[in-house]
Amino acid sequence: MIYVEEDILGHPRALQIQGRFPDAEVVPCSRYGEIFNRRAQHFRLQKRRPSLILARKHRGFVQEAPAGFGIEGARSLVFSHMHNCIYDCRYCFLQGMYRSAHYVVFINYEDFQWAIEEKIRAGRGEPLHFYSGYDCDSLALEPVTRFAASFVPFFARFPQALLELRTKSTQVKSLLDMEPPPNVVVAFSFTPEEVQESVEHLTPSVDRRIRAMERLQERGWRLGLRFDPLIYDEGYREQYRRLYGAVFGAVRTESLHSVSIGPFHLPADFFRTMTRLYPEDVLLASPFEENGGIGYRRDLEEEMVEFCREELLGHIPREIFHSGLSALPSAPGAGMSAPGADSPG
Amino acid sequence: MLRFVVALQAEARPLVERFGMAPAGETPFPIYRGEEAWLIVSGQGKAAAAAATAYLHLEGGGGMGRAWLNVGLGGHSQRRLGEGVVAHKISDAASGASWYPQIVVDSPSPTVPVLSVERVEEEYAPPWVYESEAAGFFPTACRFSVAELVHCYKVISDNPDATLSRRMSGVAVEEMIAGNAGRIETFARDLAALARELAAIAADPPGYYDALGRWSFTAAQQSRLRRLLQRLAALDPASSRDAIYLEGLLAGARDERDVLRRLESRLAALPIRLPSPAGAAADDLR
Repeated sequence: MIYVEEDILGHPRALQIQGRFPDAEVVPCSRYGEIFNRRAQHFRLQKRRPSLILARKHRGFVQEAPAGFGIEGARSLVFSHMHNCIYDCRYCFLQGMYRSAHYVVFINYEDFQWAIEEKIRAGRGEPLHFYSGYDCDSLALEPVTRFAASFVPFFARFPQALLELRTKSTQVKSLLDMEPPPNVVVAFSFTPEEVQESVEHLTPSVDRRIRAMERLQERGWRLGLRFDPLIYDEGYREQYRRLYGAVFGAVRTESLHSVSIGPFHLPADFFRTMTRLYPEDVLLASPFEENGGIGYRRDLEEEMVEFCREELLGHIPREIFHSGLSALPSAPGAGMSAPGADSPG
Repeated sequence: MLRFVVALQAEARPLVERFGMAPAGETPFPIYRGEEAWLIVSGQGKAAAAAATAYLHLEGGGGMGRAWLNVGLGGHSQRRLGEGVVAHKISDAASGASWYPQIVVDSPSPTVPVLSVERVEEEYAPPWVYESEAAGFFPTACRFSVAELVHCYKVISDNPDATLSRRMSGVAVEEMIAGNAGRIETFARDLAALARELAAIAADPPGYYDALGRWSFTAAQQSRLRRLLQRLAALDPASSRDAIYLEGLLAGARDERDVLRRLESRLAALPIRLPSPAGAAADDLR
């Protein structure tokens, strides 16, 4: 089933996306809000069979990132061409934020690009970093949406701006088909293999993500590593050690733009919703505490962060390690998630 | 548990038979009850459908999260007589409001938009199913359940060549529904399975009722107790299902706070071992 807003039924991008699913029933609607996030919807049930919703975004194309997020010395902005994600990571805040599991794709990329260009021009040379991949995974639906294929060439025109595509996906073909602009970073999120298999449902394996990074590296793309969120298991030290060994055995530090780690943090109300959806889940039953949001018990979090940082710094130069790329979540605004809250990409 | 809403007695009969229901006695709307399903006959029109849906909800104990299915007849410009369809969009011709049933199980029949009208239509301009109850039934049932569990199954009784329903005998109506009863049953059972899944998610954890019976927790403490017992069930499922283990854990607890403290201590001592199921990556599924 594909829901399409009536006023974009004839939009070339909507038609192109529909063309990928020739057998799907197309259901016109006035606005995507008629279907998405209505009361009396159940995220967990809907996640069994999510539908695609094609919509036009009308405002709020680009938003300032919460204070403290990003790399020091640059202004950070976030944008999302999509709500929701094809993956099903049990720690993801989207489960707590939306009642719907459907994927909303905003097809008016040109309006996003106008808004981004306005910010860049108004910045008059100020370094601007744009982050995609918070309300969605930047690349997971690339064969369908052609998001990167549209936005990477766009950002190539503005060397003073930087675009980060955050992802767990191995859908890198459209990137491999183009020349890598120096101001675009493809940032891969990782948890250890045992965690990925346990809680990152439907995601590509750690090994496949590493192989996708290798292919991008060979083509000269700048890469990012986001060990985010840090997930506790009694064997976490050995798990993270092995993960770092596997990643840095394949990814050269010269290819890396930045590396970050991020503790597990969620707004408390999102977390409560998630425990209602998945009361039996082991991850969500871990020793968390409320402290301006939900995170691991303070001593455990500090221990994990310290261990993971020290291990990481054995592999990378300190200059490319940035803690601010996984900032604490703030209360989300309408239609915008909380960057730094544990996110899809 | 299933809840059926139909407009006519003749529409009810094949479902009553198939699900082994029996009349429930004198009620404002005729009601039939069985072990797995209840059915109400609303009469025609969206107001009657809404009222009957609410009545059946209350009569059935007011439990939330059940599977609801409106079964009835409708007209269509192109579809053949007797064909069954499932609504993927319901619009109210009078108000212009629309609703979108969320289909997360296999639909046994094609899905179509449904338009609820006040009067019988003979010209079916857009290729929708024209009928009279869905716009009353759907938003009302969604107050008592979730949109994934509330659906409308319509059987085509009229098209431009044959406006049968107005002069159709009860027997003919019955035959039309009976001709789709297998598909309706499959759909209804899939929805009922989903409702059971939802009930399992919302179920109280082992030991919760026993603890409530033995101590007097405040509302906030009850909520904490519930989550602590859920965590215990997640981290140590075998022990948490063992009444003797729980009894031992809480034996001698001085008061409610002591109960919560003991559970927290036990949880703090449990190792966190993430389970290791594996599945195909979504990237591979396209």
